[in-house]
Amino acid sequence: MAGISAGLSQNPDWDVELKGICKRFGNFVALDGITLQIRRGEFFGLLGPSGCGKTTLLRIIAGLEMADAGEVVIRGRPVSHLPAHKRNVNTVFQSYALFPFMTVEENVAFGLRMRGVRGEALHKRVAAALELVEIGDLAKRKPQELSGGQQQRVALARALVNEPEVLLLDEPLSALDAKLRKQLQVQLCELQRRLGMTFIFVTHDQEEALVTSDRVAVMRAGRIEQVGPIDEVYERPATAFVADFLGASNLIQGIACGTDCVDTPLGKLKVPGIQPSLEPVQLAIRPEKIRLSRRGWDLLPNQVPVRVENLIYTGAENQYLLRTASGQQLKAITLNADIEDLDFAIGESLVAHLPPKNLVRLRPDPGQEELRC
Amino acid sequence: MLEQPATPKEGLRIRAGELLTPWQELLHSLIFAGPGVLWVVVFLVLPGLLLLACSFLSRGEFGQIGLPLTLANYLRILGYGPLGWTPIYWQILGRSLLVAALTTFFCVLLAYPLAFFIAAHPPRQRDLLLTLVVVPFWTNLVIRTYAWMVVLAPEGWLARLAAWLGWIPPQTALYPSWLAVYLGMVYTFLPYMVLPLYTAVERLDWRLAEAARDLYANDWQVFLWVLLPQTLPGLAAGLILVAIPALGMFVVPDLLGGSKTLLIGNVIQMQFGASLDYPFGAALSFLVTGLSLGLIYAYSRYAGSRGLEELI
Repeated sequence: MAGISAGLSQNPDWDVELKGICKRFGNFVALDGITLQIRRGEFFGLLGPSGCGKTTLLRIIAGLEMADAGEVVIRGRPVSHLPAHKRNVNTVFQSYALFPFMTVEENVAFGLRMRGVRGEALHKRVAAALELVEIGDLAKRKPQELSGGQQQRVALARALVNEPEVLLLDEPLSALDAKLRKQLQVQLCELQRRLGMTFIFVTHDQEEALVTSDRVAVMRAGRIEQVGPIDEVYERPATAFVADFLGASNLIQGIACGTDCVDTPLGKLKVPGIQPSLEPVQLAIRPEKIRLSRRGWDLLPNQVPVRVENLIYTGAENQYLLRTASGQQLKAITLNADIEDLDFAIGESLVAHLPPKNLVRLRPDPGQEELRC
Repeated sequence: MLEQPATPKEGLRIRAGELLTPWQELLHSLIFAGPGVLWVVVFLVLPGLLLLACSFLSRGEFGQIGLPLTLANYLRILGYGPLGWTPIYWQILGRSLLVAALTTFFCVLLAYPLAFFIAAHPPRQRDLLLTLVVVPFWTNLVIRTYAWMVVLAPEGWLARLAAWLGWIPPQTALYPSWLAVYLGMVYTFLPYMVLPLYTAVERLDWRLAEAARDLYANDWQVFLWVLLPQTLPGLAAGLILVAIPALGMFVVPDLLGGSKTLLIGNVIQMQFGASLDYPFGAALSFLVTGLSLGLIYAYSRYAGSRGLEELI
C-alpha cells in the first residue's frame, strides 16, 4: 500500500508531512488534497488570501480540526487520529487566546502543568521562557493589563515553554501596528534561528512572508499554487496568481515564435528556454527589474519605447506607470536615489529594457479544475 | 466694539449633553427618580422600620402588640425562655441553613449540564428550551407544590415504584419526607440557577478552550481550568438567587414536609398566623434578613458593584 511504503521511506529531515489532506465545511471545499513536506528547523510560511484554507491547514496540523481525508505525520509519527492535547505541537493564536483569569506566569505555566511538571522545574522553565521573550518583569500581571505587543510575547512564551516539535503561528502579528509588526518579524526570525525549532507561520501579508520565511507555500482556494524557497518563489513565480500575490508583477501575453522568442504586443521579446512552437505564452516581469533610459542602450535585446503615463512618489521609490505604442501598460520602479538619469517626468518618452533572464514564463491557469476531494 | 466672550455661569454643568443649573438638575432627578424612591420608602423602608420597632415590643394576652420595650424576643431566639435554655431555634436555623445549602448544591449540580445543553443548541431552539425552563413560573408556587403532592401520592407511579422496590410500605405516599422537601425545593429554584449560568455559558470564549487543548489539557482539565472560571460570575449570581429565597422558604416544607422539617420560614409564618406573636415573628424576620444581607455583601465583595447591578 502507498501509505505503508511512504511510512517506511521517511525522510528524517522532514518534521511535518501532509499527505492528501482534504477538508470540507458543508459544500465548501476548504482544503483540496494538500500534500506538503516541511523540513526540520525551517521557518515555513503558509501564504494566501483570506479564505484560501491556510488557517484550516494549520488547525489540522495542531489537531484542532480533523481532516476528512489524508494523513498528518509529525517527526515520522502519524498523528491524524490524535486529538490536539496529545500532539507535541503548540500554537500561537491570532487572538492570542490568553487566559484572562490567570497571571502571565500562570498562562505560561499552563502547558507544563497539564503535563505534570511541578515545583522548581516548572518555575525555572517558566522564568526562562519569559526571559526569552523579554517580559520577565511582567510575570505577575494579568493579560488585560498588557499592551498588544506584550500579549503577543506572552502567547509566544506560553507555546515555546513546552519545547514543541513544531510551533504553529496563526497570523500572530496581524493585530499589531505596522512599526511593531516589523520589529517583531525580525525578532521572530532571530528567535527561530536561535532555537532551531520548526516554525509554521500563516500569513496573508506577502511582505511578512518575505521577511520571515525560509520557504513558503502559496495557497489559493484550498490548493497549493507553488512551494519553494521564498526568493525562488519571488523570482520565478509559477503562475499569474503567485506573481501577483507575492509582490507586484507585469503580465504580458504572447505566442512562441521560435527558439527563445515570444511575439507580444511589445514586439518580439527574447525569453530564454522557449521552444519553437505556436503555443500561447504568458510572461511576468517584476517592476523593479525593468530598466529605464532616455536614450536606450546599444546591443541590448528587449528594448521597448514607452511613455510615462503616471508617477507615484512613495518616498523611497518612484513608481512609474508606462504605456507602450501598442497600448500595453507596464509598471516600473526605480530607487529614489537622486540620480538625474533616473528621474523622469510624466509625459516623457523613454526606452524600457526588459532583461531576458527576468522574464518568467508562467504556467497557464488551468481554470476550473475538477475537485480532488 | 467687539463683543466680550460670555463667561460660563457659576455651577453650570453638562449632563448627557444638556446644560443644567443645579436646581434644574435636582428637578429633573425628582421627576424621573421620585416615584420609584417614594415607592421604596413607603412600601419597604417604612414597613421595615415598623417591623424593627415591633421586634422590641411585647405580645399582649390576646396577641396585641404593646409595651414594655424588651429584648425578650431576641433572647428567645438565642434560647432563653421562661422554661430555661433550649437550643430549639438554633436547631431550626441550622436545619434551614443546611436545607438552603443542599438545595443550592443540587441546583448547581443539575444546572451546569443543563446550561451547557441549552447553549449547545442553535439560537431558535435555545429560546424554546429557555422558555420551557421558565414556564413553571407561570403557575402559582402553592399550586405547583400541591401538584407535587399528587405526583408523590400513594397512587402515583413514583410511590408505586418505591413500594415495588421495597423502600416504602405499599399504599403510602412519598410525602411528608425530606426527599419530598428537597424534590420540591430543587424543582422550585432550579430555574434561578439555570438562567444566570446559561448567560455565562453562552458568553464563554471557546477560543480559550481550544488554546487549553493545544496546551495538552484533556476534557476535564479544559472544563476545570478554562470553562469553569469563566462561568464563576454566573455561578455566584445563581448561588445568591437560590440560597436567599431557599433560606426563607415555607410553602414547600409546609406542604411536602412534616413537623420534623420545620424551617425558619415556617416558624415565622406561624408567628404571624396561628401563634399571633408579631414581636417574636418580627425578631425572627430580622435574623433571616440579616443573614441574607450578609450573603449579598459577600457576593458584592466577590463580584464588585457591577456584579451586583447585573444580579438585580
